[in-house]
Amino acid sequence: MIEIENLSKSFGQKTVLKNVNLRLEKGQVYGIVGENGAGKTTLFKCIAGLETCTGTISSDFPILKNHLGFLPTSPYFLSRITGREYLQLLCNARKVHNPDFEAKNIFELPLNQYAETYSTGMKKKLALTGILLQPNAFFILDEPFNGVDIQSNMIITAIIQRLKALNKTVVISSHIFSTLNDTCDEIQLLREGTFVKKVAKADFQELDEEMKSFALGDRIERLGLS
Amino acid sequence: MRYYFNLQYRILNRRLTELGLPPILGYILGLLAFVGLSMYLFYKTSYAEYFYTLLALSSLSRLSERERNDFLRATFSIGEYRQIRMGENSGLVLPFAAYLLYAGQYALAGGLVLSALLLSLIQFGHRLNFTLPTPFYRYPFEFTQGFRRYWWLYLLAYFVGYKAVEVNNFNLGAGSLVFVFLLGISHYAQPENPYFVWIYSSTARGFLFKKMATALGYSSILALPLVLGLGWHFQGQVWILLGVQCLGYLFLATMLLAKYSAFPNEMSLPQALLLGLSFWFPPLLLFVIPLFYTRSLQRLNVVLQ
Repeated sequence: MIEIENLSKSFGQKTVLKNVNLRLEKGQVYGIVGENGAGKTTLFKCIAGLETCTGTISSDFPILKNHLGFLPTSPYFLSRITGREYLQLLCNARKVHNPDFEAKNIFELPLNQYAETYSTGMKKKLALTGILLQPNAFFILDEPFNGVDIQSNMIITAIIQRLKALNKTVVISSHIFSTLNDTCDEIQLLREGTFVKKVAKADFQELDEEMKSFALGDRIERLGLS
Repeated sequence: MRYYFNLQYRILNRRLTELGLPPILGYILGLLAFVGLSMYLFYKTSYAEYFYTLLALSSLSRLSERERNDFLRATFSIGEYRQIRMGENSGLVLPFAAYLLYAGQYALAGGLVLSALLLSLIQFGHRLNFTLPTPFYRYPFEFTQGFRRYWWLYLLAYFVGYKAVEVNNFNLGAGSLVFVFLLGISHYAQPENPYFVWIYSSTARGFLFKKMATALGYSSILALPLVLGLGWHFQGQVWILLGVQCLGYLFLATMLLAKYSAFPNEMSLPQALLLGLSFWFPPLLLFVIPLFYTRSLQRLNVVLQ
């Protein structure tokens, strides 16, 4: 279990997260939705410890990040490092010995090629494979479906469902509502750095409608298309 | 095109300001440091002119990287692109060429400028389609990247070592070994993205020692052909070679600690000066290593705990 209390984060004068409270249980998949700039990525970085923040984050682990697999929106890659070497680096970091990269290369990535030459979707799949090779109990997946082909989308959905079955905690952000519908137990709506709504699975459709109505408003009419 | 060079000038000024220096002072200090180090190199080292030329050429490699060249090609016409690249390369080697002229090395100065102009036509990134194998697959990172970026400089160092044996010049051979360690040190010049530290489930101390063990092990692999070849030929001076190697290890470890003492930022000017001073006067390492080590622990603890 992970408990986030009164988490706030500011960049200079700009407050990005305001007193965020969140409780994450084992074996649950949580979706975080919100417009661009709502604070999702900052929240994820704060939970991971990649950004400093105020408030408290407590968990069953002495050091949460050592059990956390974090998939950033745009995964970071080192230049002139192959896909296999990237995976080896991630395994070394978490003391995973002799991993079978060939068997676990389920996205059939060209592992002997430099990762920087991969397409956007391939980079995402490589980064995801990397954190799945580690013995993580908690996963933060920031836009895991972005730029990924439809087949891989299905595989990622199945992976999230398997992680849930294995009693892992997963937090996802996505702009593709259907992917959240397929995977999440609960969705939190983040607006201007604050959670404004918590929605259980039964009410996902209602949230989708509300988000559409909020996002569209009278914007299309204002265009005056004829 | 003029705007591009103006922009580069502004970027340089910003970087100097970030280092805490007024740009004009930065340029004066830079010039003094360049002349001072050049004089020191020529005073202390045999065959300094060749190392100096090599150093000048190696400084051009970053300008030939694919991403920036792709950007320049996409932004400017092919004619302007060529002019920019020639301007950049010749501008960068010009101070080196000027010093070579001052040192009476007219042929090398001319050759350097000509090579710089020719190198502006080459884009190193083209080889990205080919994965250069390295012996560093077990712990891939700094040496894997560095070897792939500067493999040709390593080859050159081995060639110089070979020539040292051929002409029976120990100093030249020792210089080639120093060059291999300098290349290794250069692999630790830039801080990595914090993500690549954050992923480690170890203490700051454990992280640093693992990094150091990898750096020393992998630099040993790269130095081995030279140490064996030179040691075999110059059997009377094996101890000097081993001394150079030990000093190389010490400098490499210091560079690594210096990098993490500023992490996740780049080294500040005082840190860089302290590092430079300790390389110039190694007894300072007794004070500098513990200082960098303590600061590295503080910096890494923020990310690793």
